[in-house]
Amino acid sequence: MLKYIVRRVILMLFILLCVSIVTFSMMHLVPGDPAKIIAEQRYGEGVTSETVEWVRKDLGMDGAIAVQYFAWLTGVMQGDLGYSYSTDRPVWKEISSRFPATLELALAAMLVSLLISIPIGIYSAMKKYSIMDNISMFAAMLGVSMPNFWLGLLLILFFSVHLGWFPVYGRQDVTSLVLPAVTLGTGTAAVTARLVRSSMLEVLKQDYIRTAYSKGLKEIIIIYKHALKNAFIPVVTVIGLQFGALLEGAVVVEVIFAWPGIGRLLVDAIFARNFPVIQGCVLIITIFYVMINLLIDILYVWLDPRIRYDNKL
Amino acid sequence: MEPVCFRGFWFFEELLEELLCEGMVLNKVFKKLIVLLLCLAILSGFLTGCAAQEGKQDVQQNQGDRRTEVVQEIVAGLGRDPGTMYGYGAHPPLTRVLEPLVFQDLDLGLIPGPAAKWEVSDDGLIWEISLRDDIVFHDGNAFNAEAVIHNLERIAKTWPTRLGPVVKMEAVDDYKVKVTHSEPFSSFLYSLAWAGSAMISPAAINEDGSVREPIGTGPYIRASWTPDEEMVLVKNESYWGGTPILERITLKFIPDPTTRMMALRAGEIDMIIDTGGVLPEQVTTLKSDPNIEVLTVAGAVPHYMTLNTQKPPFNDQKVRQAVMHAVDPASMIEHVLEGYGAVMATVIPYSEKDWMHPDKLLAFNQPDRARELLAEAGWRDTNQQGILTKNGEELRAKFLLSSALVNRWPYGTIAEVVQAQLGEIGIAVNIEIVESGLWQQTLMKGNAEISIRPWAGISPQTRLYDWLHSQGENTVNMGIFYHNPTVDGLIEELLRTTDDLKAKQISHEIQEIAAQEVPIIPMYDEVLINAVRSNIKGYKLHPWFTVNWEHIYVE
Amino acid sequence: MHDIETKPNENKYFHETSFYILKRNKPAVLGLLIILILFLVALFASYIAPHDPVKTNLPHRLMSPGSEYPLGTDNLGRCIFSRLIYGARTTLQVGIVVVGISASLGVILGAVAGYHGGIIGEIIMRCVDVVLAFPGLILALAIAGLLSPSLFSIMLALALVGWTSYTRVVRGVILSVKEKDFVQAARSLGATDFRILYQHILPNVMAPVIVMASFNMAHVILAAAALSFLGLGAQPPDPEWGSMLNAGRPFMETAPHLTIFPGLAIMITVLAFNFVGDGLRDALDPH
Repeated sequence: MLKYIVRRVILMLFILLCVSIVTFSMMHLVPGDPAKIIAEQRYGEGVTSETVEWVRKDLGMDGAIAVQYFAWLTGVMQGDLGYSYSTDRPVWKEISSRFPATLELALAAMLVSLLISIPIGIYSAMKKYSIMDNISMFAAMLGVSMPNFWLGLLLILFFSVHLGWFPVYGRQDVTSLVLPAVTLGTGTAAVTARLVRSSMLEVLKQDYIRTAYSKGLKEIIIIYKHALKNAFIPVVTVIGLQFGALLEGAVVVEVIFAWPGIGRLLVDAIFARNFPVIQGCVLIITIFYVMINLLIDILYVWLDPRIRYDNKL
Repeated sequence: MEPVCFRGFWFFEELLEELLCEGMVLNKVFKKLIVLLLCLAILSGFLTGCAAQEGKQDVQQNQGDRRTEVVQEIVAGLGRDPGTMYGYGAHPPLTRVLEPLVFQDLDLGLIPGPAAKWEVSDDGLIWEISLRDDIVFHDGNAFNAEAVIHNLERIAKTWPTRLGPVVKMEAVDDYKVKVTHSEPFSSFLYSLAWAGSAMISPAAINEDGSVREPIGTGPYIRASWTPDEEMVLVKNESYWGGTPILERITLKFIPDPTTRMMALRAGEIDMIIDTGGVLPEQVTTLKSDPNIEVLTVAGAVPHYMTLNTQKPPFNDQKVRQAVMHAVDPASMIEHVLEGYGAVMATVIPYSEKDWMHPDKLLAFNQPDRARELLAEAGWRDTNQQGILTKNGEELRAKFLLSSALVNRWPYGTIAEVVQAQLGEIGIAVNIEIVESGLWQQTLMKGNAEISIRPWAGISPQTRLYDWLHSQGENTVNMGIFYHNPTVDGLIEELLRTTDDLKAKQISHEIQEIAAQEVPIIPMYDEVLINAVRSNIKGYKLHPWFTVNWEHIYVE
Repeated sequence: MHDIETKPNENKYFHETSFYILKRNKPAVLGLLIILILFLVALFASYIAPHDPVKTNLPHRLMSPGSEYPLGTDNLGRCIFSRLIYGARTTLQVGIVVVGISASLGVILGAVAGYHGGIIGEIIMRCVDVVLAFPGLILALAIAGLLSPSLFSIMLALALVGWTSYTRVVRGVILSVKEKDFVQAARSLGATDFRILYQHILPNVMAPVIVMASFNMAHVILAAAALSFLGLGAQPPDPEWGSMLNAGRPFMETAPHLTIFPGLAIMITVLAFNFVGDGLRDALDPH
């Protein structure tokens, strides 16, 4: 097991290194001279070419691209992601002040998603091809296909404005979390429900379940004692996968609900062409996502000892 | 195992099959699963729990108080961060934390504020301003001549032209200030009444003239400010104008206009203040809500469309005139602004009607004349695609909008209407919306041809200076770069002229030239719209959107 | 180890049997029908649309659905029905271009990685890992944002993050097929690499790729609509469903048709592709 974890961590570090290269190169996608852009952001219009050169030197942008990259990477390792153009605060501070909000939203959404999907999935599997099964699977398909920005708007209109049950925007108390979490959780709930259903169906097909049935055990006991636990293993994996989807979805949901998270920070930064913040957001979100996946992979092996650790990477 | 990174559910099912084909699973697995789910639940419970607790306390407090009497607390929403303007950390008219020396009443007449009275010498060069002697700053520092001079110096340094050609500022006694100009500066009092000319405690002003903290003389004190989110104001018990009623005001910055309106309807906020607080298209919905009252007033906020006069295609006066003739503010006001606006006749808005040229100088909605002008300027429809060309160049322009402004006025729609109307006469417009900082920079660099912004202005004289003088704030910052030496001369003369009649004559002359050369197109004069929940009383909507916080209360 | 392994299918007529299975899957048939209609609508937009989709007509703004404007008008008096029809063009165009680019890129790279293997294969697969390490939409958002906002930008961004899943699957399939007897036999008979790829491997790769492309189409349409909703995609006055929805937000209560119809259009289209994907998977991979 330890060997497996070490191996996975090494692979992760390699991937993170590549991720950092990609993120770093993003800055060079931008048309124009980055040093000049930064100089103008810092000192206003009409900067002299000397100033531009000075900035270039100051930021270590005069060296070879590899040198620049390592300088940047060293900074990143020390938590230095540069300064936001629009607020002049360190990007790290901007992100860390927003990150808990996004994490909270993503976790709540995941909770919503599991609460919806697991009962529906189990029920559908048990009553395979029943009307309820068809309806819930159609609903799941609808959930996957529904644009979450649209769903969010409809939910606000109905539950906040007409019924007044939940706040319209912002992050105040726990009620303000409900609608964004539901909006964000619905799509992933649909995916998970389908997975739980087919996972259950597969398990129910297995010989030992059939044996249990033929022994005359009560259905409920079979479901809980035998089927469920096996069916849940793949669901664990999905938690990791969902995190990616949730982080992606959070961008739009945060914009609609004025949720002060990292997704909104990213969108605002994009419209301001605030490059350090864009870079920082992408990097931090990705690092977080990669780590979650690693964690899930390790958990998965821990949960299911049948998986051999020595699989080739 | 390879990293699990698939997207989409079809993968999961495949994956599942692989897992299950191995058959038996242990009891242990299930136990571990429960541990895992518990961990997840605890983690999320921890995060949401913190937020929940805060919320609960608030609710309990509110309920407790409500039973006894009405809590004099209010939450107001607005479309911009009230802490970011002027570099003061509190927008003077909106927060009333900071006050200028002179106030303007609902008809925009000058009335005494911290300055109790004023006098000007016959030659118009020397101003004597008497201050009230019963005012202290929020930090307890005395409000006196010394503090005022300190502030005036700071203002003159930050906005060099604002206070006119000052040569000397001195304290006559503790509560009297004398300002001497080298030439008469007729709009001096308006400059003093301007929001930026706020009086701030000398203790809060840095060496370089920047402001550390908004410590002023107003009815409210800034208790806290979370940038991009909210500002909390508490009442100033010893306000010189009487003790305010509201104990606490929370100003919520809600950029998205739809969210703003829905928050008001849901009762999360009690009022929407500020110019561009309520959008015209929201009025119908708000009026249909029995709990909400909509307030309107003909404001002092005209909106100008700007043209880059230095770059093709708008360096040609004929093309600029064509743009003016092509747009149709009247139909735009009727349909997009739902009637909450007025067509402007000249660059001077109705709030300064004494200074308006007697004739209607601007001619809108004459597409045929616009086409003629473009033809005269040499633009032809050579490729039969509707876009005119000249020397192989297509007649294109970029209409750059600030996202912050789009969130407060229906600029997105207006830009699309302009796009369609200019398309009719063969000008291809592409619209781009960017964040406000980038918007400003791009315009200053001259990298956009058209834009639009509101401009409340200070006085007719400074308005003409700001928009038409080659050194004017907007001429430079909005990327208009209009430079006409005659106009520059006239404006400078206007600022010197103390004789009212003569000043107006000069201003008429400037207005005529502006209507002819069209560096800017006055699109509409805004009717301010605010909305309050019906239990909020005492709010008088000011054309300058100054909030009379000291008179507002909850019923 | 999670790569999809489809069983090598040597039946020449598998398309026919698959089609039979697909035909019995009602949602898939419905999905196909919707897609067919969409394509026709997009193709003949100029004949079907009752009005000019970009022509503003202020006096007619915010009209409710009626006889002149079947789905009403938007805040500039433009016919929503016509805009939806032209929007179908945009949507399908984005979907096809993105899926086309990512599928062909992904399949080629996957084939190289799987068939050729070696150091090149290894490099390709590590690239896949790296791209997959990013949450896709976040990366696409950043790329589209760094370029100037336009349809082209979002197509490029989505294609750049979209090719990886194809590569992974195609490589997996090829790895498993490569070792099968019939491929070995063909090789021993002196068949060229190209011939083996074309005759024996491609048919096996096609099935999962078609299934994926169908789901991918749904995903891309949704993602593009989201980016346009945020203001990064189609620019005014071009009709695009996501940006139409965004433009309708202020009128959600007074004129709900501005948001309802574009939302429905997105959902139905995405649903159709998901249904077809589902049906195709069952049909092409019947086990």
